[in-house]
Amino acid sequence: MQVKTADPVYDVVVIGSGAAGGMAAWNLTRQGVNVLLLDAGEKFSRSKFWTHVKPWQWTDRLDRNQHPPQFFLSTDEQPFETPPGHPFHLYRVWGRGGKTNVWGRVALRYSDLDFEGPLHDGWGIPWPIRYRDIEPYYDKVDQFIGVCGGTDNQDSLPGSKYMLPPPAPRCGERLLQKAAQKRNISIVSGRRAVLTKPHNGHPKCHFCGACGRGCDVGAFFNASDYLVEPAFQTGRLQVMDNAVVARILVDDNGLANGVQFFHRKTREERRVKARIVVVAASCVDSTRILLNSKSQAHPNGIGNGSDVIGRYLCEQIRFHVYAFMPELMNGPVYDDSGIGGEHIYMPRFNHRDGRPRKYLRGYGMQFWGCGAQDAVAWAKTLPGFGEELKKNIRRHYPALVALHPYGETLGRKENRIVIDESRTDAYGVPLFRIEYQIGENEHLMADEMYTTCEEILKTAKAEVLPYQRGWVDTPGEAIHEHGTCRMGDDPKESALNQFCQMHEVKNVFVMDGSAFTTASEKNPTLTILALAWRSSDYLAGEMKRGNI
Amino acid sequence: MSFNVYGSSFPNPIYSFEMATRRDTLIGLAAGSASAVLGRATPQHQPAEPHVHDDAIKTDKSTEPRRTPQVFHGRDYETIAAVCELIIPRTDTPGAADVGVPWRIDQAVQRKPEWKPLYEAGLRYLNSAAKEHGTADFLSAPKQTQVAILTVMSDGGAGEQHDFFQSIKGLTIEWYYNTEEGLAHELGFKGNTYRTDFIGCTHPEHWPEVKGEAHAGQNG
Repeated sequence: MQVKTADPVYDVVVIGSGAAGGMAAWNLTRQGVNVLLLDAGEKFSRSKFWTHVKPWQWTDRLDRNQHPPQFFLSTDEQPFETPPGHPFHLYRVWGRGGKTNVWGRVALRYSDLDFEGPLHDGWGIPWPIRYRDIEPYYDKVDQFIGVCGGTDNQDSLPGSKYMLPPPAPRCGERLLQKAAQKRNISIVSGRRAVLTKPHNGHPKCHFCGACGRGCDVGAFFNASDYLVEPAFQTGRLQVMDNAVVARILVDDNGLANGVQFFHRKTREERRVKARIVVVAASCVDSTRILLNSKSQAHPNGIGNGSDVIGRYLCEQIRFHVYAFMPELMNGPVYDDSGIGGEHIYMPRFNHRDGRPRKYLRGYGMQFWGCGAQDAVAWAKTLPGFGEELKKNIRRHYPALVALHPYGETLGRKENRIVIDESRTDAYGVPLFRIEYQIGENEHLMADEMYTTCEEILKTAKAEVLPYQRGWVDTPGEAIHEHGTCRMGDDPKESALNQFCQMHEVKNVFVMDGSAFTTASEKNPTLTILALAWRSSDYLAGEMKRGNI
Repeated sequence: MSFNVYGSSFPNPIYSFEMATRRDTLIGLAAGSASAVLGRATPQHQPAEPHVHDDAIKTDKSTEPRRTPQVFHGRDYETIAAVCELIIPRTDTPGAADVGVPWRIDQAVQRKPEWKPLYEAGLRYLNSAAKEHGTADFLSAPKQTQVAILTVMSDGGAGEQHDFFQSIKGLTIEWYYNTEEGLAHELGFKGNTYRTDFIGCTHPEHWPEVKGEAHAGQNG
C-alpha cells in the first residue's frame, strides 16, 4: 500500500526576493520561521556582469552578438496597457534580488514632514506611523546594509549615527554646493547604500562607477547577496525559481491558505499551501497579484473591500537640467566615476522660512552625472561642426554638472492599476492596465523646481544647456511606484495596518512600496527595508504569540 | 524543466513552528536580536566570486562582427563618410571616418528604416548643392565647398536639410565618442577603472565658503 504524503504547509510564503521580500525572508528565517521564497526569475551571476566593460568594448561585444545580463523584464513577455496619450514607463526585474541588482542606491530617511504631510495639508490619509516608530529600523538597516553619507540632520532629512564615510564630492558638485549656499540652499553629502569601506563581510566599492550594470563584487546593497544568501544559512529558507505568482488562494473563511503560480518558462502550474503569505513583488506586480486574487470572500481582490487596492498610485515627477561650470572648462579631466551617481543631495527646503507655495508637499534634488562621463550626448547641442566643434566638446567635457529634482506626486483615487479581464498573459492570467496622470499640483511644483535649478546655476554663472521649462519625465521613469495598497488606521480608507498586515485578511502582509501612504520626494528603498524589517518582526512576534 | 528549489529541506513546517522549532525559534530570536543590536551580518556569507578587473576581462573574439554597410553603398556611403569626417575631423586624434562612424550610421539607418528617406534626401541635397558650386557631386567638391554646403545646413539655411544635418551630426558625435579613440584619447575619459580610493575635488576655491556647516558636505 502506498502512503500518500500530505503536501507541505509552509509557515510563510514570501512572494518576491527584492528589498522587501529579501528582508522578510532574512528576518523571519533568522527568528526560526520556515520560509518558501517564490522568485519570478533566477539568480543573476555577478561573475557574468559587464561591470568593467568599457563603452567601446561594449559595442564591440554587441557587434559579436554577445549580450550582458538582461535584468529588465520585456513587455513582449509581460505586456501591460495604458490609455492613449498617457504612457507609463514601467521597469520590472524578475530575478533574485529584483531591482536592487541595479538600483540607484540613494538611501534617504523619511521624516515626520513626510509622515505628517496629509495631517498638515489635508490631502490623503495620514500615515499610521511616525518617525519615532521607524527610526530604530532605519538604524538597523543602515548598520546592516551599509550606507555612506554625512551625519547632518535636517527636519526634512533625518540624520543617522551609522553612516559609512561619505565619498568626497567631485569638483562640479563642490561648485554646486558653493552656489547653492549663496542662495541659502543646503546641499549635503548624499546618503548612498554603497560601501566606502568593507562592511559586514562585503568588500568596499572600487570606484568604477558602473553600478547600473550590477556590481561584480557586491559592494552595494542588493537583496540577493545581503539578505537571501544569509537567509539560506539559517537552514530555514527554500527559494523556488521561475515561479510567477498569479493568485493568493483562500479558504472558506477568506483567509489565505496558499499561492498559485506558474513556471516562467514551461508554464507548469503549481500551488503551495501556506499559513501566512507575504506579498513583496514590488508595487505593481504585488498589486496585480492582489487584484487577481478574487474569490467569493474577496470579489474585488483579496483584502480589497475598501476598493483602495490598485488606487492612489504615486510616482515622483522628475526632470533634468545640464550645465557647464566655467571654472572647469578646458581644465584637467579626472576620473569622476566615484561611487557611481551623485555624492551630494539637496534635501527639501521649500517648507521653511515662510516661503510662499502654490502647491502641496515638496521636492529634493539629485545630481548624478557630474564631471567626465562615459557619454557625451550633450555635445550634440553645441553649435557648428569640424575642428572648432571638436575643440569645443573637449573644452566642455570636464565641466558638466547635472541637476535632477524629484517632486512628490499626490495620491489620487483615479491614478490606478486595474485588471483587464479581457487580456491574459502566457499563463492565462489577466493582465493589468496603468491609468496615471499628474495634476495641477505637480505642474506648479515642477515650475518651482525649475526656478530652483535656474537660481543655483545662475549663481554659479554656469553655461546652461537648452531645456524646455515645464517638461517632466514620462511617469514611471523614476522607478518609484508607491501607494496602491496603502497602510492606514482606517480600514475603509486603507488596505493595511501599520505593520503591513491586511485589515481584512490577517494572514496576508504586503511589504513593498505599494504599502506607502504617500510617496514623498525621496527614493523609497531604505524605507521599504525598514518597514519590511519592522513588519516581519511584528509577524514573527504574532506567530510566536499564536495570534496568526 | 521544472521548478528549481534551492535551500534547506526542512521538516514539514506544519509542525515546525509550534513544536519542533520552538527551541529553534528561541535560539533564532536570541541570535537575531544580537545581530540586530550589533548590526552584523553573518560573516563570510559573500559567495566566492573573483573580482574581475577590467584588464582581465576579455571579449570573446571567436565570432567576427560583420561591419559592412547594408543600406548605403558606393558614392552614397563615401559621401556619408566624408560628412562624418567634416563634422569630427582628424586632428591630433583620429577623425570620425577613421574609427568606423560611417558604418555605425549605416547600421542606425538599417535599424530605423523610417530614417532612410531623410538620409536619401540629404544626400540628394548635398550633390545638388555641389552641382550649383560647379562640381559633379559633393565628393568631387573641394573641401572649402563641402564646408560651405554644410555650414548652410548647420545654420538652418537649407530648410528641411537642417534635420538631416542634425541627425548625422548627432550620430557622428554619439558614435565617435563611444570609441576608445574618441572617448579615452580625445577627451581623456579615465573612468570604469578599478581604484582603491576616490580623491574627489582637491581645490579649496571650489568649495563652499563656510566650511563645517551642515550643508558643506563631508559629514557636516
